[in-house]
Amino acid sequence: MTEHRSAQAEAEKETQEDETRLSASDERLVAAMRAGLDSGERTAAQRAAFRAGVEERLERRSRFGGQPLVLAASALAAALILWFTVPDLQHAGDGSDSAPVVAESAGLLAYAYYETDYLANSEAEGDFLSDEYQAISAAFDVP
Amino acid sequence: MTHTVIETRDVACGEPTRAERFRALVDEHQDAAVRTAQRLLGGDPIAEDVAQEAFLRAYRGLAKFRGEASLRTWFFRILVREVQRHRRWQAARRIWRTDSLSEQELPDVSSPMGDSALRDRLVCALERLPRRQREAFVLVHLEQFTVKETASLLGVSVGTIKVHLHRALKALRSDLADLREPDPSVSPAAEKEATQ
Repeated sequence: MTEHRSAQAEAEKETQEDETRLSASDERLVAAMRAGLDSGERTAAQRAAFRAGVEERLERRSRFGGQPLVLAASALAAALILWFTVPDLQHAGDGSDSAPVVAESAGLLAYAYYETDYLANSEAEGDFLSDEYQAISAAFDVP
Repeated sequence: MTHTVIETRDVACGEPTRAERFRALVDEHQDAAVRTAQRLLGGDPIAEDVAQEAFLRAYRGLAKFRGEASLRTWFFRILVREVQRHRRWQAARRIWRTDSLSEQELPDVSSPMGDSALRDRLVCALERLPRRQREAFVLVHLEQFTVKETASLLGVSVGTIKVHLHRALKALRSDLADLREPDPSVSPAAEKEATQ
């Protein structure tokens, strides 16, 4: 009986902790926001396109699995080498400094390096194996 | 351990395979994932891409999921982190860009308030909230997670979530005060105090 009462008290305490009592005014505000932000039901075509997008990402990762760091580092090195060794690249055709464009490209490549490094060190297995893609292909009925 | 070995073991035990579990995860949570990403990213069209990336990460972690939390909470934790990662990337990208284009032009709401203008107004109001308040508000009040689930999902205490919710509501009351219809049962003085 004592154990039952303490379990009941614990459940009541959890319910109280979980409650977010709103005033009537705030209830209306939240309901209005929920209605106003609702973009309606997604169509079957949208859902199918989304699943296809997920599948495509899986395939892409599987294709480049094992080499993303090498690819990204090579691209970054190539961009920097070209920038320093080809004077024409340092100026755009109209004479303006093309440095901002190259800087952005280098930044994007650096981010790609960070991103692939992040993937390789993430909590999961790291590289995709092609047989994983095969399994997903089977699940999504891809020929 | 290869995926093939996992599948063989799962099939032998009559358990759903990883691929089957993943397919079920996508089918069940796709709509909510896109909607939540859109609400957290201020209607940014890239929200669908972010949601897809989140499913990708979920696939990689699915084999290790041991049911410590509900699958929904576990997945939305991944989704929120993906949204946060996207925002950090957008912020970093702004540092590199030297032109003056803003990352996301705010919609013009000066015209009479039609449905899409109202939606834009609400999106802007959410966007103006600090990140943590916006996340707490969207997850609890728009996506119907409990306070406890949201705390677990965001890695903070229940008390912290309640503080974020309180501040978010206060800010939204003020920001959207002109859209609210007066409550006939509340005096104007009390109404004014509620928005402050």
